[in-house]
Amino acid sequence: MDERIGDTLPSMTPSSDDATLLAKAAEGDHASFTLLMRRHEDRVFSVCLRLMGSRTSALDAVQETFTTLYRKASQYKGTAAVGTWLYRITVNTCYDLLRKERRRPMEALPDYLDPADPGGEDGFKSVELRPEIERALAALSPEFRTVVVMADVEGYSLPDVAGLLDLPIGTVKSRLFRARRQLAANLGNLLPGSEHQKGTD
Amino acid sequence: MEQHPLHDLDLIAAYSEGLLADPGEAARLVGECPDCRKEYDLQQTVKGLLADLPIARMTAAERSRLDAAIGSITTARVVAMADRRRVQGWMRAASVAAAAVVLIGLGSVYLGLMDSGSQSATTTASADGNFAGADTGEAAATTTILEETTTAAAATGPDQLFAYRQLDGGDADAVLTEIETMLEQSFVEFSDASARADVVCEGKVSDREVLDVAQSKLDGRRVVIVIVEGEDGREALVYNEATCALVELPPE
Repeated sequence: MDERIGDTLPSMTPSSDDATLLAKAAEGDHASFTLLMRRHEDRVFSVCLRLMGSRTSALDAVQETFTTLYRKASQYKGTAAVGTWLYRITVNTCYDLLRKERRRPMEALPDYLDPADPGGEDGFKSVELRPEIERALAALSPEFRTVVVMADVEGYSLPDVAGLLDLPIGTVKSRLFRARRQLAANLGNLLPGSEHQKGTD
Repeated sequence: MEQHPLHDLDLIAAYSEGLLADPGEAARLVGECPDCRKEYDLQQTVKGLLADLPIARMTAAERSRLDAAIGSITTARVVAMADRRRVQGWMRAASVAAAAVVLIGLGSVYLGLMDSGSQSATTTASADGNFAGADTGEAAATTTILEETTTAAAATGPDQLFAYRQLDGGDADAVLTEIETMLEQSFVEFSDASARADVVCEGKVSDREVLDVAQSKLDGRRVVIVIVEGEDGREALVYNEATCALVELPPE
């Protein structure tokens, strides 16, 4: 793929600014890195939360993501937008941590889907986060969840998602299609026009 | 139920994503075939629901923990960049020592640490100990752990490397116990204060060969440095009481 992926990403900060900040960070400029992190941390956290399924794990993933970004800042070649590079690191980090979590003994999930937890101490507005949708998302396999989160929640185009995940567009399209069917099944009669729920196998 | 002869999920999927250069056929299909229409509507409905999900934001406390963790990393990076040559020399010394399996009285080892303001605080420490064979693959008999061998060095300044020890390579539990001892706190307490940042480093310790453990102070705070080697080469895990930073070390 010759063209730069990520150029079409929605609501990204200007890539050149990000690249400048990253270059300064590679030279040890803390302030530039902090600014870059500030710009992206909420979206990175949001992606991590939906991929990991708990705030604790999401925070681990966010920290690891920005640590990696900082460590590899000097390796950035500018062939993709910084945002694209960052979100690729984010997804890979989440996959790595999910793999590690699978190797650990099962633990209780006290903060499972906790953004929707009305008793949460963090002041999240649970109603806004649509707990039933978050729960249905969490029930998907990581592969399905990732394409749905990146394409439908984060608004990346299919070519961008394909670039981020290093997958053929056809695979992304297929996963997305099947993931939405599964989501519809998981949502059951909560889905508007709930007669859809039957046609998912 | 018999499907419409034109029922084509792949075409519907491509149509749903706007991937078709000529969507005319797919539009006709969706118009003529009820099942196709249902598939298309389902895709659009779910897509719309997901697009309305808000960004999940960090709380102020979570942001603070992230800042603390990243701040520690950037500081450690400056330390590493400024002091690579000395660290490299230190690692080389460890490798040489490994060949001899046991080396007592290594002598003075220098590990300079700079604070976040880039003010040099290079110090000296005298260290005795055994070295496991990082390069030879030998696991030396390194049973002594964090002795108070640093009395003299500890009195010399707040940013001084005042002890370092060698542990059995790969014994993650021993390393973590050692770090807890060094920092005189438990990782449970760290977890509460640092977004479980230690977990990141804990994995690193578990997955890699531990070459060495050092104790020092950085920016006036006690830190423990664990040198590990894995697929990515040698790295230093710099723990303080709140978090853990990962620092790449140059290849030998």
